[in-house]
Amino acid sequence: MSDADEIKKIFESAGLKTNPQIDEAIIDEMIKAQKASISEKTSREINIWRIIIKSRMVKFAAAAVIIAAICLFFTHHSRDGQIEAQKIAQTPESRASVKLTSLISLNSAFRRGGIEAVEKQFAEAEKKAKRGSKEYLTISRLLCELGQCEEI
Amino acid sequence: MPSDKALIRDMKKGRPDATRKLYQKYITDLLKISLMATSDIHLAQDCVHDVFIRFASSISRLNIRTNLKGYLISAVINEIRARMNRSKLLNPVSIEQINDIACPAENPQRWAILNEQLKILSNAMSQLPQEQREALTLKIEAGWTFRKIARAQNASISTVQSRCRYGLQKLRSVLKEGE
Repeated sequence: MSDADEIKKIFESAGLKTNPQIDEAIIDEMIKAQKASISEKTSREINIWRIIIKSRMVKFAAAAVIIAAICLFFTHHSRDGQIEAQKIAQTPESRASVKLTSLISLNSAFRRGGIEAVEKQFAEAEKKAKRGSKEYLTISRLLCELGQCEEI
Repeated sequence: MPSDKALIRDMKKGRPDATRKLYQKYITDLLKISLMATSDIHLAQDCVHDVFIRFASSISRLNIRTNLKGYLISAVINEIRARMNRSKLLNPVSIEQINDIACPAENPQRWAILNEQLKILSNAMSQLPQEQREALTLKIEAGWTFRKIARAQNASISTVQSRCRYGLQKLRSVLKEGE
């Protein structure tokens, strides 16, 4: 066995006990200190609130922060709403109903995707129209309505 | 025994049973380490007592990321150093004093009651220089690495290694002389 191992063994065998009475006294002291620490922390938090309430500058700053937060929330929220509305508008059902009700939407489709987009929209509108009436729409009639031809 | 994290969390909530459990978990180890590092039972007791009270009084601000035992050992070692620097208390206690301290029947208000091996070991450790005693205690009793001890002692790893080596040799010869 090496010196180090021997010393380690002596260290391991060396031990102590503590006096329970003194242990209790120290634990009581610790509990008091613990309670004082926790109550001190609470009073510190209350003090911070008091500083905000009492100081005019801090009060204005806090109010500004709250207003900014509310504005940011609404801006973000409305942007989300716009994105959501765009998504809904892009669904086939909504697109079809818009196409059927307004020529403006066809015009804007032309601007976005040229004649191909108009044709596509027209085909969808035609499908819808077939369900309701026997009178079929044609692209030439539509173009006429838009003022791009002279006669049907 | 609950984990250190749970104990600290409960202490922060103000639960006295958590404080009691934490005390019971570490008191023996800390007292032994403190006694080994100081070879002075009074100083050892005072340091451990102060560390426990200071720990409890700063519990709401504490944020321990490493293990709690290591934190408490470091606190005890720092307290010992601070006290020794303050009072230049480097005089070892005699074996008679340790015997007197260790007799609970004669002196019932003593906190630590040492067994025979610890008395002998503490007396032998008192023959070593402070740095060697501290390095040996942290290495053998606390199980710290040389790197960690070097950081605690603000010394190089090789210095700590030689402190432990010379400390062991000296301790061995002192213990042999005692036999």
